[in-house]
Amino acid sequence: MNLGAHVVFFLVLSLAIVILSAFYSEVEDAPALRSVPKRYAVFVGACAVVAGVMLVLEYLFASVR
Amino acid sequence: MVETNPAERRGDPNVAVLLTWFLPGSGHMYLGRVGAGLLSFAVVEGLYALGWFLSHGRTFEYLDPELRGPMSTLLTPEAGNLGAMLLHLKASGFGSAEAVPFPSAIVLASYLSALSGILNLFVAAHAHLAARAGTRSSAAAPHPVGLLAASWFLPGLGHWLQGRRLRAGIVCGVLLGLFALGTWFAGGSNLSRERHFYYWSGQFLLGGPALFAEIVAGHPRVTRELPWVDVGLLYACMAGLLNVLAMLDVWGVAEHRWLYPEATAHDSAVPEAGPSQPTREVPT
Repeated sequence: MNLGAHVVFFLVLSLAIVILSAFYSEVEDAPALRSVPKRYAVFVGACAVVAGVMLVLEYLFASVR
Repeated sequence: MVETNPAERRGDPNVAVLLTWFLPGSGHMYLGRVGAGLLSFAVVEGLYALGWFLSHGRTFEYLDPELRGPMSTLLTPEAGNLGAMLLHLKASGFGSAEAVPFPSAIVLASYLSALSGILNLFVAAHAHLAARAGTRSSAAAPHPVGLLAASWFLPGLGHWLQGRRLRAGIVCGVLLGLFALGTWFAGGSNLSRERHFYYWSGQFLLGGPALFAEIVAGHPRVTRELPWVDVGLLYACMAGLLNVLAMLDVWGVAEHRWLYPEATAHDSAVPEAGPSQPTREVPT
C-alpha cells in the first residue's frame, strides 16, 4: 500500500486529535490554539518514535525474511 | 470536575450514578426525587423496550459470531443502560441461532436501544449533578445536562449555547469534516451497524450528524472496491470518540456556571483552570 498516503491519513487524524485535546486541556480559546503546533509536533514525534521502535523490534525478533 | 462541599450534597454522587447505570431513575429516587426518577425510568426503559420489541431481541445478532462473548456488548451504546442490556442478553442472547431474515424495523429498533443507552448517560449525569448541587442551582445558566445533550446532538452546539462561538465553529468543523471524509473513504459503508458493528458504536457518539447521514444515505450496496475503507471507518469512529472530549469540555464549564453562578458572573465568561472555587453560602 502507498506509504505516503498512509502518512497523510495519519497526519490528518492526528491534527483532529490534537485540536480537540488542546481545547479540552485549555479553557480559553487563544492559549488552546497557540498550543496546537507544539502539541502536534510532540504527538507526531512521539508516534514516530513508537513506530520506529516497533519496526526495529519487528526487524530484530519477528522478521520472516 | 468542580468540587462541592459534602455537607451540602443530597447524597453520594457516585452512588447516584451507579444506581442510574444499572436502573434508570433509581439514582434520582435515591436522592429523593421520585418524580424525576419515575419519568427517567419510563422514558429510558421505554425506548429500550420498544427497540427490543421491534427487533425481536435480535439487535446484537449484528455482531459477528466469532466476536460474541459475555463482554462483547460493553462497547455498544446500549451499555449506557446496563441493566436493560444485561436483561436483553439473558433473555434473547445474540438473537436467532438460525439464518433467518431480520425484522423489517430492526434498523429503527437498533437506533432506539442505542439511544436508550446514551439517554441514560445523560440521566446519570443529571443525578450526579443533582446530588452535588443540593439546593444550589442557577436559573440564569443553561442546565449542564441540556448542554451535554446539545453537544451530542450536534457537535459544537453546546459550546455555541455557552457563548463560546469560535470553539463551537472549530469543533463542529473538525468533527463533521472528519466524519464526512471518513464516510467518503468508506463509500458510505460505515453507515450500517450490521456491516461494522463496533465502528458504528463509536460513530454513534457523534449524534445527530451520524444518525442523519445514516437515514439519508445509510446501508448502501457496495458495488466497487473501497481501497481506503479502513481509513474511512477509523475517521468516522474517531469523530464520534473525539466528540466525547468536546462534550466533557462543555460539561466542565457548564457545571461550574451552574454550581457557582455568582463567581461566573463576577469573573470572566469561563472559569479559570486549576483549583476549585470556594463554596458560597446557601440561604436556607
